[in-house]
Amino acid sequence: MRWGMVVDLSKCVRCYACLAACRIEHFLPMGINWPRLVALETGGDSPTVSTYSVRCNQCKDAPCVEVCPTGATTRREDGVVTVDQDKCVGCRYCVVACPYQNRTFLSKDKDQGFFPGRVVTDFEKAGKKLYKHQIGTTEKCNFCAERIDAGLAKGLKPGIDREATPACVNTCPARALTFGDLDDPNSEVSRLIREKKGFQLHPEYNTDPSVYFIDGKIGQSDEPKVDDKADKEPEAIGVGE
Amino acid sequence: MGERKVIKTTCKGCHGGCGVLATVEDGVIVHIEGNPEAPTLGTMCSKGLSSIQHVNHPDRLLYPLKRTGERGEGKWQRISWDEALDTIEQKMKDSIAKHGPSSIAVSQGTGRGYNEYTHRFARSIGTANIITPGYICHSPRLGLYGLVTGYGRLYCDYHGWGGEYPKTQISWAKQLEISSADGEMAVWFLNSLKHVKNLIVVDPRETALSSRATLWLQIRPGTDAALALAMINVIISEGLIDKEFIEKWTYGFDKLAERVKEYTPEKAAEITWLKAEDIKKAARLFAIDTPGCIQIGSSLERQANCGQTLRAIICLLGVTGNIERPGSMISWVPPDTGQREDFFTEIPITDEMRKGIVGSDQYKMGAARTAHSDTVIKQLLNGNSVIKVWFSVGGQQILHLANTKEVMEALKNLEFLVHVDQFMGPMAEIADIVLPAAHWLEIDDIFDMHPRFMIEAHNRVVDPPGEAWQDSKIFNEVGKRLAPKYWFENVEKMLDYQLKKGNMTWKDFSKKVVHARMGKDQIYYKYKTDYWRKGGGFPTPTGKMELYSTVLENLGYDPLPHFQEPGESPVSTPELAKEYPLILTTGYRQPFYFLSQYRNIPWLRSFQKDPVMQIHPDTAKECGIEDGDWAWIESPRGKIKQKARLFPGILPGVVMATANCFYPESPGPLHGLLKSNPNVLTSNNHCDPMYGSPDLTCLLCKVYKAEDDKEE
Amino acid sequence: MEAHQWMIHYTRQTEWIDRRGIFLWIAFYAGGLGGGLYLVSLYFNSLWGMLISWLIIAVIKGGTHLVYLGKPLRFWRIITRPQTSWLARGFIFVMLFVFFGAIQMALTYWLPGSTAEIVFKVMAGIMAFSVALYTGIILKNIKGVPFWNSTLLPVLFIFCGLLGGFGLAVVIALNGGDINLAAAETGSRWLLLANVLLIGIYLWQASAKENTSKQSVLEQLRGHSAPIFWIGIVLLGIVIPLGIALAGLIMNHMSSIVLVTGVACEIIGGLALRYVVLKAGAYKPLVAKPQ
Ligand SMILES: Nc1nc2c(c(=O)[nH]1)N[C@H]1C(S)=C(S)[C@@H](COP(=O)(O)OP(=O)(O)OC[C@H]3O[C@@H](n4cnc5c(=O)[nH]c(N)nc54)[C@H](O)[C@@H]3O)O[C@H]1N2
Ligand SMILES: Nc1nc2c(c(=O)[nH]1)N[C@H]1C(S)=C(S)[C@@H](COP(=O)(O)OP(=O)(O)OC[C@H]3O[C@@H](n4cnc5c(=O)[nH]c(N)nc54)[C@H](O)[C@@H]3O)O[C@H]1N2
Ligand code: SF4
Ligand code: SF4
Ligand code: SF4
Ligand code: SF4
Ligand code: SF4
Ligand SMILES: [Mo]
Repeated sequence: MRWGMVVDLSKCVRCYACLAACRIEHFLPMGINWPRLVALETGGDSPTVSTYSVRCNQCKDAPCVEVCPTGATTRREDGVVTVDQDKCVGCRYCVVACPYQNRTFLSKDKDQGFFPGRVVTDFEKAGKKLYKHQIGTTEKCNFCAERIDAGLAKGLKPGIDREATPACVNTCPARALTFGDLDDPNSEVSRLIREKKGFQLHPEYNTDPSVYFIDGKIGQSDEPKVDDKADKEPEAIGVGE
Repeated sequence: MGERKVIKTTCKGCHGGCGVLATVEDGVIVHIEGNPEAPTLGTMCSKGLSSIQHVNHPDRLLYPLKRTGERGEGKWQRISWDEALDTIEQKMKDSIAKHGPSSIAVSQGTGRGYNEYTHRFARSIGTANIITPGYICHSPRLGLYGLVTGYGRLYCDYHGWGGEYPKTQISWAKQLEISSADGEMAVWFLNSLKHVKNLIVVDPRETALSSRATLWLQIRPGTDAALALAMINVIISEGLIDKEFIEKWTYGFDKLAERVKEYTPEKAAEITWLKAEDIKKAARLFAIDTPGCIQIGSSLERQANCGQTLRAIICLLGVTGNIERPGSMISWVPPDTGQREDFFTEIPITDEMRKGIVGSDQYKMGAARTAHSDTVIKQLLNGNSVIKVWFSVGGQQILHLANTKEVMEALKNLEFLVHVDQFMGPMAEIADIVLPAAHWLEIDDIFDMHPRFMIEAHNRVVDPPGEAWQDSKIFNEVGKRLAPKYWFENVEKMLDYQLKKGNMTWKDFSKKVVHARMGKDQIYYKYKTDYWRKGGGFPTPTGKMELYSTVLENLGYDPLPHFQEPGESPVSTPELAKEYPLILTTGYRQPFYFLSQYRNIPWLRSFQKDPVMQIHPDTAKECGIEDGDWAWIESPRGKIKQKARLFPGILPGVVMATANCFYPESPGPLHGLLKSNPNVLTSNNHCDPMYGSPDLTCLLCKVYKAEDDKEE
Repeated sequence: MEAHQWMIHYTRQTEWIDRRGIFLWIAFYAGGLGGGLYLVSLYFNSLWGMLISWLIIAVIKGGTHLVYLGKPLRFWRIITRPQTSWLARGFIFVMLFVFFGAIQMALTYWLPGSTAEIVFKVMAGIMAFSVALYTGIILKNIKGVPFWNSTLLPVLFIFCGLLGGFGLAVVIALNGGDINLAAAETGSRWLLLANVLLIGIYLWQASAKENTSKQSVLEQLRGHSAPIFWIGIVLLGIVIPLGIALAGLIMNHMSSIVLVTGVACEIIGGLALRYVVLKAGAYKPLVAKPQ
């Protein structure tokens, strides 16, 4: 089992929902984003507006794991690279070493609260209890490992059942994010990578990221569209007369 | 851990409608996410999610306030609701006694889910002087669709309920993918793209979808009518029309055919700066690969030729038979509760009310049910104002109407201004009384921004802060004092009343959250049945879809669509264009802002601090501007400053400025109102003859580097 | 920088130089300088030099690096895990150097010439070398920053440390310490030449390698770091010391003030070099913008 994500560049509409969902899910301090958007806008003969929704790639050969001097950063069985904030000394070697710049050191100035010096909102207070962030340590996207673990414990399938699926994937209105098991050739992610020529960012680093990207045109292509499944017939709710 | 519960509700952080699950622990919202059971499939955008930073915002208005100093001086005194309501009642009654009910204006901003109350309240007290941005946003479409279909609402059938999805879609001046505008949710549109064969984007700027579309028509702003008419020309001359539909169900085809003869693709290419070949291609795609639909953006309605532009596009739908077909444009049948509009239309506009509507003599389509805002402003300036008292609920007219400086002057001449809002923005700053409003997470209400196939419930998740009230309660309480006949004992009774046709109470509906007519229960091809008219047909005077509009003819307008140059353009005002050589368009909806809202929400502000102006790198070079520079944008009316973003995807010579922006953190009363707001540049002198819409999205300007970021 | 403007262009690493990152810069330089001085002191068998290098590594290097940590009290986690990374090993080198060095100095003082002294000199020497070396290895191993991915970098850092070491040796000699001034000056001259050569080759290599690393070089030659490069490294670190060195060759005798000034310039030059290398380290764009 190796959790992975596919980001469809032809679908992402740069709406920022993934960033917001992650902030809520993990009570992120004001100055931190785990996922980020990279906006690419080119002119010329074939102009394009592309948005790369990026987050930790959960690399198979992760430089951040290699360099961590404390064992705080480790790669789990299921491929998720996690940081144990209780072990991290905040040396930032991993921050510098991640070639994708997906790690953030939580310095004090990044945790000044939503409204510095004015109020601490109820949500922030709740967050302090429900999801601890330690100033002086490093953090990053964890593929919503909490959701995966809790979901699996309930017998749910990450990528299929919402409760076990990352928050950003669930919220994306464009359905540009797909989550699932890269080791399972029948999973949606494996299929998309295979059929839509998924690519990883900077393969030359030999990190083997678990996040893939795909691109393409809207409509008109003659190849069978992998998404073309009949939609579930919606239930009509409350029609009378 | 305390008690945890999940409350189902509905977001209206934009035009709205996403189903929401809010998790509350010990009375605190600890999580929100989309409701997967709702028609929005569990998705939510950054605005809706960031509502979490809205509820405890330290700048929320908490109590009714009364102005104690000069207008705009920022001196306020907290008062009780009773005092506030008494004062409002008294001022309104005095004004009615002295000048008649039409002297009262009731205003709102864009649709924020309380439209029904605005209109009902106004009508209940005997005025139809309702001020809304509708005439530059959605209403022209509704009115002109209304000449064709029942209640004037045509939507794209994205849902496949009739067995087909649209094969060809035109996204025409629209960014539905991020705007979820006008009752259509982005997620539905984006989902339908899985099934589309051709996507055509008509936009002077590249959008998230344009480079992946079948065809992108990078049009000169303000010339869309010429494109639509040329497409009709191609479709007719190449015999691609829907013959059966035209013969049986349309009126005036021959006259239309005659009219579009002058709009050859070549001529249109010259007007629109497109290639004739591309115009032909677009026409063919749309006519051959049917069914198809067109998503019309409100950029087209913020132009002084909007009526005719929309007419042309609707005729394009007509000649291709893309009406009421599965996968085309359709008017949804509402659920059994009926349209929420019934809640206000049940109070009719009397002749006297109609006579009192400001601008009704001139803008016969636009100012038939609501006032014409720019005329209201001109009257206030000229001292002959019909409007004396203004009851404003959630809308920043001071910033969203054309020619900000005039609007600021004009509003000073009001006798009495009440503003209802969540924050102290520029409009509240100049009011006499400010009332605190609740956020959608704090209210119990029924949501239906635009009548469509469903209604949804807002269920209160947390209590409003301080003494803030939900808008519906404010309307009800003021309403009870002035027109008790039309108002209710309390909000719950009022909600019950709105649901009565569906045999539901508010309590039932509140649990149900979504009440919809979807799937097989929707009705297509209504014109082939008795739905609108016995024996079939459209609810128009001729019983047909009127390509040639008898209604417009009777009102004295051109019954056939035509193209007209914008009020200011290199073609219509070549002299002016020498000094102001660039075309200015405004709008540029940002996914994380809603008009001027949310610049005070830290999460959302973090995505883009300053208003951004897009400009082509070549044009920028000529203006001496580099990426990230502050730049002046200047028109004959004034100048503003925005941050330049060099964007190769915008048509050279065109500048796109972010609209509806002020700086909540800047000191009042203006809050940086004049610094970056493009309406400082726009003119309210040249308006659409039918709707009165001014040119906000096609003007002339010049651009040059601003030295620093100091406020002028 | 707004969220979406991120990483399409040249993006500098900031964590190890900006704001609190200056501690790491000092730590990295102090490691090289201290290690270099210790090795030079071994050559001259200068107890003064050993003591000073010991202080530089124990106090400045160790101290600043510790202060830099987000959770300094947890530093024991690092030193108990040598298998994990060069950072852990580096911390251990520092600890061991401090330990061996202290014993060695005691032995040199009280039991000069003993086998134990020699053994500890060797061990402390190896540690000093490692301290000077490992920071270069750390940078070299960072995949995302092409400017750093060069085996020359650790070599450069070692030579730079040795240069500083010889410089300090000159100062010690001038102050009547246990070092031969002429020998220290000669060493200094040769190392200066070696450093100039290495910097030149390094920059040339980096600019020829790949786009981002070329931009890193340009950043130094013409960008924001240019003043530090030209004034710090070139003028203070190279031109002035070289001038003094040449003058020394011709004139045979130099005033000590001039010599000390030269050494100070060298040290500033070394600091500037580390600074600029850290400052100009930039990541390849996450997604390449087609030109
Ligand atoms: N130049 C130019 N001008 C334009 C446009 C353009 O594209 N270019 N767009 C036009 C269009 S389409 C529109 S719709 C208008 C929009 O203009 P408005 O709808 O006036 O939008 P805002 O300026 O954001 O003002 C909305 C106010 O309502 C408050 N508010 C939000 N929610 C609630 C609520 O639930 N209750 C209450 N009581 N208050 C609330 C907000 O705090 C804010 O102060 O601007 C128009 N003006
Ligand atoms: N996130 C978010 N959502 C919103 C809003 C918001 O502020 N933020 N505002 C809401 C409101 S009130 C409205 S009215 C809607 C509006 O939303 P939409 O109707 O979807 O979009 P517009 O902002 O009108 O602009 C759409 C496109 O029109 C293009 N355009 C400008 N001038 C012309 C022209 O002359 N011709 C053509 N063909 N294209 C042109 C612009 O480049 C732009 O890309 O969005 C609503 N939804
Ligand atoms: S993307 Fe960066 S942080 Fe994530 S696993 Fe790879 S190297 Fe580590
Ligand atoms: S900052 Fe923390 S997680 Fe990163 S390398 Fe250092 S100890 Fe490991
Ligand atoms: S997978 Fe989870 S942790 Fe990672 S970016 Fe998405 S929401 Fe955040
Ligand atoms: S939520 Fe989806 S569409 Fe929106 S920015 Fe993220 S990936 Fe793109
Ligand atoms: S799209 Fe509109 S309704 Fe949906 S979450 Fe965003 S703001 Fe709320
Ligand atoms: Mo609007």
